[in-house]
Amino acid sequence: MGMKGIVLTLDSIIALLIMITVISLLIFFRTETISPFFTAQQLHSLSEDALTILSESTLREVTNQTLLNYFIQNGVLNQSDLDKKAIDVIGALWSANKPEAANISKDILNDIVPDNIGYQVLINGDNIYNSSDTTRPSYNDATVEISSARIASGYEKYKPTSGYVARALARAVKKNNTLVVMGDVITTSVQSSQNRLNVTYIADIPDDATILDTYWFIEAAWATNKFSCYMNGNKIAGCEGSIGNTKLYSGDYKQWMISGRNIANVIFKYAAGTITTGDDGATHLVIVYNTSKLSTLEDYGKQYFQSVTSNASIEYEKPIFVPGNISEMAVRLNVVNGTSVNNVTLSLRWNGVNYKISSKVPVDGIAQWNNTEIKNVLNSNGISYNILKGRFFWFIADIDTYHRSEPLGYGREINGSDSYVSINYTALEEIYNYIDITRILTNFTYSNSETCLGLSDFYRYSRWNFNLTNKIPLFAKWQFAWGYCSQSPPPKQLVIANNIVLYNSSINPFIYAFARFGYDTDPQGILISSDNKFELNFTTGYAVNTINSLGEATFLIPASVSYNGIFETNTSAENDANQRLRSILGEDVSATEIVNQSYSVAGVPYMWGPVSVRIRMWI
Amino acid sequence: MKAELFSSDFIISILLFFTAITIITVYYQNLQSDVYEANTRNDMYSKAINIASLLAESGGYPHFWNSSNVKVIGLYDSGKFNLTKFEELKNMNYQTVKSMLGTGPYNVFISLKNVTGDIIEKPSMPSYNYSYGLNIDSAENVVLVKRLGIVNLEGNTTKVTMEVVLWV
Repeated sequence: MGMKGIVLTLDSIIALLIMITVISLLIFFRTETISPFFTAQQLHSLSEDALTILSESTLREVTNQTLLNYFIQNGVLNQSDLDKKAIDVIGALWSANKPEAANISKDILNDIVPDNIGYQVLINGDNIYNSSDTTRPSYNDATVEISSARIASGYEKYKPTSGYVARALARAVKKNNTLVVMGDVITTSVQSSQNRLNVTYIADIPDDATILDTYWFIEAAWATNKFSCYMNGNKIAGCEGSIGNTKLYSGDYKQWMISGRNIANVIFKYAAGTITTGDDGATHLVIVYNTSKLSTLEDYGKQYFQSVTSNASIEYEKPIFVPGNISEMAVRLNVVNGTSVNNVTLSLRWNGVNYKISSKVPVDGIAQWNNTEIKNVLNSNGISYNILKGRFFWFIADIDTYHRSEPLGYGREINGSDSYVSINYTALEEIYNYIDITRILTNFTYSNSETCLGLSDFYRYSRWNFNLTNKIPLFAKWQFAWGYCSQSPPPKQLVIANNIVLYNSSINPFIYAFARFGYDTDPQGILISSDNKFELNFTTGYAVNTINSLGEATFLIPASVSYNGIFETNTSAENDANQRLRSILGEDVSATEIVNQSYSVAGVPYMWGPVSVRIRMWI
Repeated sequence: MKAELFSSDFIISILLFFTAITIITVYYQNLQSDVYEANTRNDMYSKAINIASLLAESGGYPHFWNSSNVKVIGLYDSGKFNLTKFEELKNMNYQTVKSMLGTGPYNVFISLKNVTGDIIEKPSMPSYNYSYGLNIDSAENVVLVKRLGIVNLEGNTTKVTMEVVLWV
């Protein structure tokens, strides 16, 4: 019993010691901190002040006189520069690629910005001066960073100040553009050889378009499916009797094509040994045309389904690509009033995984899903609209419960002209005064033939190279004729753009139907105004037919050039502007009407800017 | 023997208990003091930043204010700190300035310093410097906010740092 008392006392002493230790540690590690909010506010005030000093003070007032004298002696500055605002002189030196902009920026700010703060001066994102290499805090170690910016413009230095300047604007152009109508993945049962899947492809080209060339690749869901093809109601003889896939050329059907809307049809049929038929998503109708329309970008806010008819249930997989941030989406399917369709089931596929939205019974032939219904399902699966920007995702609609094999039944129909995915998204900026161009990517290579499919021309490695120098890239899209030999574990899928991995099935889900891939310019570096490279790399069991696949790139070209250089005569100035405009338009566009604006300048040089002058501070 | 053991155990445990209570009480009081101090510092920072903004970004009201007609104190004019206005500020009663700047219970000290960190002086009157308020004297809490600018010091433009110090 005595021992028990001692043990209890020992316990209490140990408990007390632990408590003292914990409290001591708490006291020891208790630190007084200044809220980052106040630090950020202080940095913001200081960066604003620094910008005010640069923009409100003359160079003479805030720069070391010895430094100014040195630059005047070297011809970098002249006396009149000293009475200009400091920001104007720094901007002019920047526009003339003079490194002295850094010296002046440092001289003005270094002795006034507190020593415990790092800072950087930038113009339009170009570094002018960065204090990181000094005793000040390095930007890489910053814990709080704030920047302020002002818009500035001014006169360029080191240029003649009298003569003529001119700019040119292409008021009317002729551009060679390409429309690619990519087929969606649509299948139905042909257990009954009487059944047909009729798919209508709409190809809208401008009303003034002249068709230069066209071809049409059609690939059925199964290599043994037969099909017939029509262009604007005319049966294409070259297509009749095709099995699996075929490529039709201009001479086969161009004579029936018109400017404006063209309606192409493929009737997919039964073939011995298969129970389904349809489009496997690799079908594409390519039309190269000439038009005077500056803007021919399609409306991504309303993406239509193709018209389809069948006497069995239909599975329709529609790829969607939106080059902007999506805020709302809705789906409307017109399965035609009076038909016996019992239900329509909608799913969304992202990265190879299907997320069921819901099944609906059509009312007066219409089944529709609003933004809330779609968004809720995605959000509950951890998917936000943000990640869908600039990438392909799919809506999958089953018209009646889909069976791969079922007998001939009543007619099902999707009225494509009234069935669409409507999308609210942030439209592309800077379209005005630019010309959009879409080009088929023809420079590709392939290797590592995949033999398990029993088909020729399927490769595990494919690469496309394309150059967008002097162009503003918007997005690039691919449609693949794919093949998969089912196996477990599934093959690896790796997609790389400009050496940046965009998809890796080792960390993302395996994509069964690798029928589409596309991307915009995000993240930085994947699509640039220079040489671009896009690579597909699969392991054994998965491949694409590179030759029958299709890549396209869409980009912008400026429709005008600004003032540049002073010439002795007005004609020389305008000729120079026109030449610069033609050079920038390149082989894709020819200007049929150029408007020039020119004027004489005397003692008034042309301007740089407007630019954003930014001061970044950190601690 | 059994009874003695129990009674010594009891005494020791009572001692331990009161020791623990004492430690916790001291720690709690310290914690309360810290929280109070942190709140005070946050309040002082907030006020100091607002005062510095008012002085550095506004010319005050009326625009050409002086110590007798001032409604709002501000030192900024045409891209510079206006030293004439600072001189008017120096003519003002300390409590009035505190009230107009909204310093609350805190003392204030405002100064203009050159790039070497010295308070600038009037060249024609060397003993006259551009500082105002109660200099820091055995303060418990001090906060400092800086703003950058330039002044015209009798014809010479100089880069300065305006320091607003609140202390208590």
